[in-house]
Amino acid sequence: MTHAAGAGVELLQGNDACARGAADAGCRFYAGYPITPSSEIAERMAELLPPLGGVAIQMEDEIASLGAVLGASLAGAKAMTATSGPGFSLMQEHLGYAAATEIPCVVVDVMRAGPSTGLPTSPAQGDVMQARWGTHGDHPIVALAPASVAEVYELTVRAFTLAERYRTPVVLLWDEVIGHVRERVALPDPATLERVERARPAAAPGAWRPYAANGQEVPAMADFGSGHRWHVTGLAHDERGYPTQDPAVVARLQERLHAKLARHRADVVAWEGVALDDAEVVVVAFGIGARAARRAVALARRRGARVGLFRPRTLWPFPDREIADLAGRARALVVAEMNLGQIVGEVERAAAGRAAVTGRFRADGQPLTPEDVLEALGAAGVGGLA
Amino acid sequence: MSERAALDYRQYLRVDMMPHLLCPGCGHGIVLKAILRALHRVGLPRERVVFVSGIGCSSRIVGYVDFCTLHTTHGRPLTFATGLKLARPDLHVIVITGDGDGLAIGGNHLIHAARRNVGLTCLLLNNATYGMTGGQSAPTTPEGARSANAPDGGVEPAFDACGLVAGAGGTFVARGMTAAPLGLDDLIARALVHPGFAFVEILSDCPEYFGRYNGLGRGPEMLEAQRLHVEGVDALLAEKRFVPGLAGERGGARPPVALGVLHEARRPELAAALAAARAAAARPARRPAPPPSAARPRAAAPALADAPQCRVRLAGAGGQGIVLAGLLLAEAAVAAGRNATHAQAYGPESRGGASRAEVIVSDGEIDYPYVDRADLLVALTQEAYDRYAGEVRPGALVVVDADRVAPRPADGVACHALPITATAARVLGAAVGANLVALGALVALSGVVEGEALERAVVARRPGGDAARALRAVRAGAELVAASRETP
Ligand code: SF4
Repeated sequence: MTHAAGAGVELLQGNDACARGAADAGCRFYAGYPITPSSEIAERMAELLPPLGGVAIQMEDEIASLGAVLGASLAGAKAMTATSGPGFSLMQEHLGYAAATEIPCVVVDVMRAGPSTGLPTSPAQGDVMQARWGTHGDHPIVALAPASVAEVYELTVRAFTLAERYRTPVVLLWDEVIGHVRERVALPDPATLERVERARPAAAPGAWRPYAANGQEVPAMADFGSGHRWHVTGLAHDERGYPTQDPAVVARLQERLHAKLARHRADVVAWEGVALDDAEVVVVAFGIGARAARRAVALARRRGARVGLFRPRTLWPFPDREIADLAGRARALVVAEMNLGQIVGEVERAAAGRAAVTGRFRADGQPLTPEDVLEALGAAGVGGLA
Repeated sequence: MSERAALDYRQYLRVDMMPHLLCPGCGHGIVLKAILRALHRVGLPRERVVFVSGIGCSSRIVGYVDFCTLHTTHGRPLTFATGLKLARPDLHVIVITGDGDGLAIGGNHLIHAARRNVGLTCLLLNNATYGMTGGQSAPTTPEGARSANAPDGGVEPAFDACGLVAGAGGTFVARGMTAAPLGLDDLIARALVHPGFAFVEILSDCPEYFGRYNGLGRGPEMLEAQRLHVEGVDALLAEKRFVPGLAGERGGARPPVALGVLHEARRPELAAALAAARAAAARPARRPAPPPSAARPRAAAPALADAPQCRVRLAGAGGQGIVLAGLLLAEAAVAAGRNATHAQAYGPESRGGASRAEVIVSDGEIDYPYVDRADLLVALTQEAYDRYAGEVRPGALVVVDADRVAPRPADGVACHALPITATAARVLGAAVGANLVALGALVALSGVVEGEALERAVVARRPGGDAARALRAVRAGAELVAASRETP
């Protein structure tokens, strides 16, 4: 096929696509701290937001960056920050605060090789568990993992939708390759995008109870300065937002926080399947790893192997029901990821022994290659690949 | 004053949050009342007043005032406050912090908020201890004073909070004390109307811990000691009532603590400065017009890719413009209606080190953006050649810089050694531009994209800010190829 070269078709970098998606989704506040390989996002936001009446600011560190984002969100702005592993570690405190207080925000982590300073310019996928469990205590979280430049744009827009709809922090995870690769895209007309705003209270200031969900899971949220006076605290709180240690009230809060995502799983969990219908062995991969897997599956199919690819677009909540379903149909699941084994544990848990689960891990700062995946398929008993 | 007489504190309090958790005799209650009196006097519109606090006894007082109140994380209230103020510059943001919250864990945020001159009021309640966690030493605990974790008196000097904030660029810096509450009203009221970062350190007391550990008595006695301390060490000594170590034991006598407005300056407040910069720039949004009806690309190809691909690897040293050359090639392909990806590998240095760009051009979907074995290879250094010459496909075309690379003959590979650096130097008067000469040669030799498409991409991107110069280099590369064809 020949691609139309018309207006709007361009060669765009992943990190640029994120900034464009954020601006098009209505993000009007950005705070961040420079860190490779995410800095292009801050640079683009500094270009894009001021002409739209927004603010992009560089804070003194990543703790401050997410703090400022949460303050801006409370003031009613859609707000985002972007970082990489070391900065994401610093943001964990405020990620937990956002989850507890239900302040919508979008946090981008362009993953580089760790631990610690690691390999600043090299790709990795080592922050999957940090996104889920990096902050203390039980908390709901959403994490999305795009695998192409076009999808970076799409899922950045989606991240704002989910953050606003469920009043939750949404983490966008991609590796350095997806952040820096340039691909041909034709971004949609922003006017056609679904733009979701958090529900604002219908009740008059006096009658409004800030954390009363009224039978639903997500309470309405008033902008600070809008006339509704309320208290926000990271302490366990009652429906008025006041601190409480009453076990029954605390338990109700915890249940509601988790029900927000559990009850709306179908809206939140997204994935892509490639050649799954008759697949005996299925590769599970995301980000650039899924791109390598896609090529490996294409090559293997050409040689007659019945293999497929399952690619989570949502990493948290993890698509465990879908994996369970696959495990009932496929003989083996091969998890390929650029870490020493993070989502493989989730896959094992979901497969529950009904399919063999193996892993192909890579944590040397290099992207997974199609050859890596082919080798893992061979090791899983797929013949004729050599 | 009449408005003071008219003030009923309850109108500003969340009575349903009472009783409060402060200890009897705690100085923070005195501060809370002073804040409400100052607010009442200044008459700020209530719906636009926002309180932000951190963690600690002092920070808890925001829970009791009936405004929009934000009780954040330990040390971070100024970060939230900065976001609130920038998103809604019309809000009056009042930050309540303590000496541990604002000077230890949050010290970095304090100096940067002051430096930025964020337009908010920051009240730091200094009781020289961590009350909420049981009376440990704080950055403001006087040298020699005892605490829960300094049973014999600490050895560290105390922070001068006002000096710190003034030094960092705060534009209103004042100090008051709970022993003189009416003076506090005045300082807070002035801070509330100051158009910039207004900081008031308020000397408060923790009888529960600091008082007990240092034998200062309960609330009333501590207030008296506070007054004496402020009036000077000599007075303390004369009264024979002082905190062990406040004077004498280690550092000798210290000067009295200054009260009142200590520093005042005018410079642009952050939100206003940003708005002014926005207006001055008034750049149009960079986004190009959306395509009229261009089909939206799918997030990923549903089918498996099988279209032929041309895999290009450009390799050399950092600073040679390898990534830029790849970018121009990919942009040329996309502008010509083809599909392309551009991936790069680079080291942490901005200059030097190895650099590599990989471009794939196809008429179909491109599943994986890296090149395993190249159809086209450009090597601008010997190291790059040695590394990648073996990773090419049969029939590959290789271009090397004859000025820097000594190629080895290889079967089934067409290697073109061209004087790339020399040509760049001849045409542009400098070796920079070798990347463009090489790109021009590669395109002329391979036809991976039309020469015209490449030239259009060069004009659109204007590398080095000079399209004409870049075009000269690209054309010189193409001419090298033409010349080498004429003289085999
Ligand atoms: S512990 Fe100290 S600072 Fe805290 S409330 Fe009690 S007296 Fe006040």
